[in-house]
Amino acid sequence: MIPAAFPILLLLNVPLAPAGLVLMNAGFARTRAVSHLLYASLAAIAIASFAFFAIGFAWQGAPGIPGHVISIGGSRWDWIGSGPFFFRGFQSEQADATLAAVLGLFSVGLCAMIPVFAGAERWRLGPTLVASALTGGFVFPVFAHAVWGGGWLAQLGREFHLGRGFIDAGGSACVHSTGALIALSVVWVLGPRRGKYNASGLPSATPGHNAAFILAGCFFAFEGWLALNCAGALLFNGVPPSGLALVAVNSFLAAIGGIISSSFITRVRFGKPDASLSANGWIAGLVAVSAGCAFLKPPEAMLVGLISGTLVVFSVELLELHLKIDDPCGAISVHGAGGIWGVVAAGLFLGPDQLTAQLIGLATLLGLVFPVSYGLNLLVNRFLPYRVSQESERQGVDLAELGAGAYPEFMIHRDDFTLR
Amino acid sequence: MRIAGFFLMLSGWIIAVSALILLQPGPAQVAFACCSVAIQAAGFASVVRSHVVTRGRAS
Repeated sequence: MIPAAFPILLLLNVPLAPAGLVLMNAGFARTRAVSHLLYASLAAIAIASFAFFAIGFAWQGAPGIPGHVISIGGSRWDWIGSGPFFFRGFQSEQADATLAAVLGLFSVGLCAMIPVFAGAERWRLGPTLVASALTGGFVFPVFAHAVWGGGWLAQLGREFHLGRGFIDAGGSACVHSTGALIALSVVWVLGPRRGKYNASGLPSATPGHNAAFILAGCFFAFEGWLALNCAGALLFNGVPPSGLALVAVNSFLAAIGGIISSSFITRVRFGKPDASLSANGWIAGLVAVSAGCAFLKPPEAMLVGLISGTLVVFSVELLELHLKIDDPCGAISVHGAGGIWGVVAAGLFLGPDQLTAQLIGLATLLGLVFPVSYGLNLLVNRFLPYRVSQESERQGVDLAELGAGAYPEFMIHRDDFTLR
Repeated sequence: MRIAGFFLMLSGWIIAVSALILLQPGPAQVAFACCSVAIQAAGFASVVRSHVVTRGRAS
């Protein structure tokens, strides 16, 4: 059992990760949608966390808390948690389970925010909240149980002799890939922003409104990520406190690998480094290393970051230009491409048995989580249309949905042009 | 095409889980796991393609 005082200090820094991401993605939005994005992110955190508190943690469970088990081929398959709802099993003397609940509570908001970023400038608030509740109460906890709750993916090592079982200390799969797959479903349901593609299908450039937000967000997110990866390694991978220096070094090296490769590629391709893509490269490095941060060697972590930064640049272009996926903040590329690469990379560097475990986890994400989240989003859209009206989109979702913009002094009023 | 793509993705997961139950750890199991993800990639490509085509018709 881990002494509770040390990891709780780590956990208290975890909310800096969503704070940094929100700041960053607010910078990617246009001026007429900034308040909406910030408010929707906060609301998504609140609703997803409430759903997790009410139902989700009971289904996620924690290592050491027995779940519902079925037996196939003589092996135990712990497929969903069996705890009481509304955190009624939350007891401070069970330190590991309590800390896992806190980490889950902070992480579920992060997962629910990713679709908000991808659907920026056109996703109505009501459906955003319903989708966040489904994420926090069902989609996230069921997969997180398999990985973080001591479920069947975590037990692949013990039951099937596959390395350490599926490893995902900081949530490359649980948080980021899950969030990105939900985001992709949302974006497909929503469609692109009006005016994004012309009649011949070519995208128009819609730059973010504040590069300072984008870059400053990276610093906050990094601090939160260090805490998230260290806490995850401690709670779910059995890393002793003395092993956390490696987790921190790996996280940092992957982040700098991500920004170096994305800056280099954009410099070579466009003549100057692209600040927003480089910032995305920094985050993608952190996302990718989250899976294997406790076990990778530092040069391997650096390579993971370099490749994730490269992937992000090409993924953003592929999605926008060729696949007609309008993702204003690049969230699907950062969290999806980075997360999936991180899951696979942990297996590539840790041997064939570990690779099998990681691929089975990835297959579960693509074969179960993605179709279920796509189906749920289609269903919700049928009863609560996702997209704002054409007039609201023209006016800007800040005014249409919240009644006030983020920068009221930038608005041009008729009075400004009268003689004084 | 979209529904077929999702079925392929589900099939990939079933193949991966079947390999886990039926095969011992080793090269054959790794190969099956890789194939299952490749099948899912094909399914994912079908889903993406169906959305691109639908979007093209809409515009």
